[in-house]
Amino acid sequence: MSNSDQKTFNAMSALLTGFSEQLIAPQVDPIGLPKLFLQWATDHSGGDCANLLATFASLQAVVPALSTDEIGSVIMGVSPDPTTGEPIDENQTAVAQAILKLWYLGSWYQPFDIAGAAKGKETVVSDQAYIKGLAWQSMQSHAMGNSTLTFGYWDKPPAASLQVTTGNDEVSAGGPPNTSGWGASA
Amino acid sequence: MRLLKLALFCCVLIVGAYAIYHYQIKGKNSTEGPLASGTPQASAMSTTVSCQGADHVITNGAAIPHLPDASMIASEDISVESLQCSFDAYSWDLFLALNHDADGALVIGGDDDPTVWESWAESSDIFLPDGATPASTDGSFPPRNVPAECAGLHDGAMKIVRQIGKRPDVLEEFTEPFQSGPLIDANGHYSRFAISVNQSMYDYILDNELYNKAGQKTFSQAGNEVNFSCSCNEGTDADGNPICAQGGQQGAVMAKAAWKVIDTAKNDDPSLFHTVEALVFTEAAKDGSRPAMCEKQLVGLTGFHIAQKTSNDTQWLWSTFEHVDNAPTKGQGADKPKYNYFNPDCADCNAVNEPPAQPWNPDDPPLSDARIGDRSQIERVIAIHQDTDAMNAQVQSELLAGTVWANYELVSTQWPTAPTAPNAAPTAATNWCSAINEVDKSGNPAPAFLANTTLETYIQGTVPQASSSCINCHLNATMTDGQFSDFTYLLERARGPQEGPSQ
Repeated sequence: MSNSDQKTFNAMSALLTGFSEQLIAPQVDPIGLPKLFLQWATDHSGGDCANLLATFASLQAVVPALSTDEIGSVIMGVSPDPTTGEPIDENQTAVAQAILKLWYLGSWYQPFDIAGAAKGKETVVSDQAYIKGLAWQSMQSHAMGNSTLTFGYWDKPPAASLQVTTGNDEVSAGGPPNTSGWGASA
Repeated sequence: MRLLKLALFCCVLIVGAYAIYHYQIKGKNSTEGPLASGTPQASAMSTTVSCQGADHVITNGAAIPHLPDASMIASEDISVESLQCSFDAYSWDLFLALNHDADGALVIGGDDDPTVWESWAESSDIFLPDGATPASTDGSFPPRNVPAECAGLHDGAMKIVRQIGKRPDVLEEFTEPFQSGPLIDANGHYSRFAISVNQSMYDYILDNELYNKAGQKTFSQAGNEVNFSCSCNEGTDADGNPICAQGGQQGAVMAKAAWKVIDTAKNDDPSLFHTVEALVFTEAAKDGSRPAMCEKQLVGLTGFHIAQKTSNDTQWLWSTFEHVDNAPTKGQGADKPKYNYFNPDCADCNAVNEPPAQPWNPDDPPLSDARIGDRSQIERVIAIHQDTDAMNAQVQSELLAGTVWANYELVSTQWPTAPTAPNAAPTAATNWCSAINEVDKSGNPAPAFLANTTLETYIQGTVPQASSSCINCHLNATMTDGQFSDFTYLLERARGPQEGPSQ
């Protein structure tokens, strides 16, 4: 994969997940999930991952600039491509959905049949992919048996807001942490 | 966030870097210095190691560094690999500063005298059997807590080594999460372990009465959370706000050591080790089958952890060193005739990296040759990184040649890659520690796994939550009341006084 492909993949992943790019693809990264995920998506989607990245890059270059929501709507198949007036190829949309699930769950759900893998086949990409799945982080929980929280955390309110959890100041759900403590009466 | 923090500290470190530079110019490759004449000494005062394209000056003769020298990291080359070089260079600086003579000479490698960290308070001096307040006769560290069986042998300052497992026996049956066991050297002697803390850490424990269970409970009930002080350099941020105490601050530092009995009858060469005359104490068996024992023995250092809490690294920085002859690396062959914990010519040895069979009995005499299968047969599972290997070779040859310390090598340094919360600058109220990353309190450490063959012997590997990772393991540390203890298991050792004398 080229650096350019990786940068495009990271930016698209941030848009798909709602997490900041800095958080999901940090400059100092001892694990390297973005590289692993791009390679995996490329190897399991024929040429459609590369086509999706090209589509995403072209949407980023549209003048006047499209909002992230508008770009997301196109690649998720909700809205037509404004440059063509047509929806993007459905395989590309399927790959985008698979990449989104990959980030959150650490598993690759094969989006369509390819040689050696039938549509719907689920594969846990790696132990770290599962452990670092964004689903855990979103709810400030952890994969079973793999906590990076301190002993007794379950007895305290979640420490961080969703904005902090995702690194995205624009997220609207979640709100501030519950500082009243569990079980506090209304 | 780390990049921003590093940039801030670059400014602060300029003054320090100049001081180091000045010192190097004066002392480099010279023989002048505080060593007594006729003693072996290193050939140089500093050496510049090139690692991942950046130069790192490692200095023999400096004080304990407050922080890794971030000024050496080129801003355009921030990566795990380049930062690892910087942290490894810091580890060597820390090792050199902690292992020089405790007499203030600041240069490692004279006579093999007691070191700086050996003058610190040991865990058994702090957490007394009845939970009593540690007594100090001179306002600093408490006196050695001498078991009755050792009293007649102790000279007042002698080291007492007692643990045979990584954590004290009193706690193992409740909290040891891993399959673990004693480390029995190639001569059949049980290795021993000891943990020391510096003045900052000792003061915090003393000031907050965390040395016994009752004090810990009171501390928690008052709404406090353990937060040892952070090392930091004096300075101000871009807005002129202080980012550390005036004059800088030496925060909490822990040292954990593994020792083996030097058995000259079995061809152990004491000149290859940092050695001390120690009292080797073995508690009585719980089933009454043997009494407590104490014996004076010459012991040699085989493993050495250093953990330092810094303002940028609230998960602490974890440096680990070993004697070069401890064990071969898995898959690389055993090319030395003798190892401390591996017998290269043994057909009936214990399985590699498996704990010796029970029962474990550390009584003297050592295991007979007929029980060679009960000795530890250890290999290093994760090879030392080639960059660290190269750094080791250069430091050993240029700064440590002719001293016992040339026989020690850095295994690695574990550091948090995402340690702090956004916009969480340290203040005096937080002991100059940045707020921890609440989303991932481990700070996503690098390398992900790190083990010392003498201290995490049987939990080496790369299985998450099963194999040794300093930060991920110590993240689970608590006090006796179950509250977070700031990455140290030491506070679990507190006893009494409300429960009466401990067993």
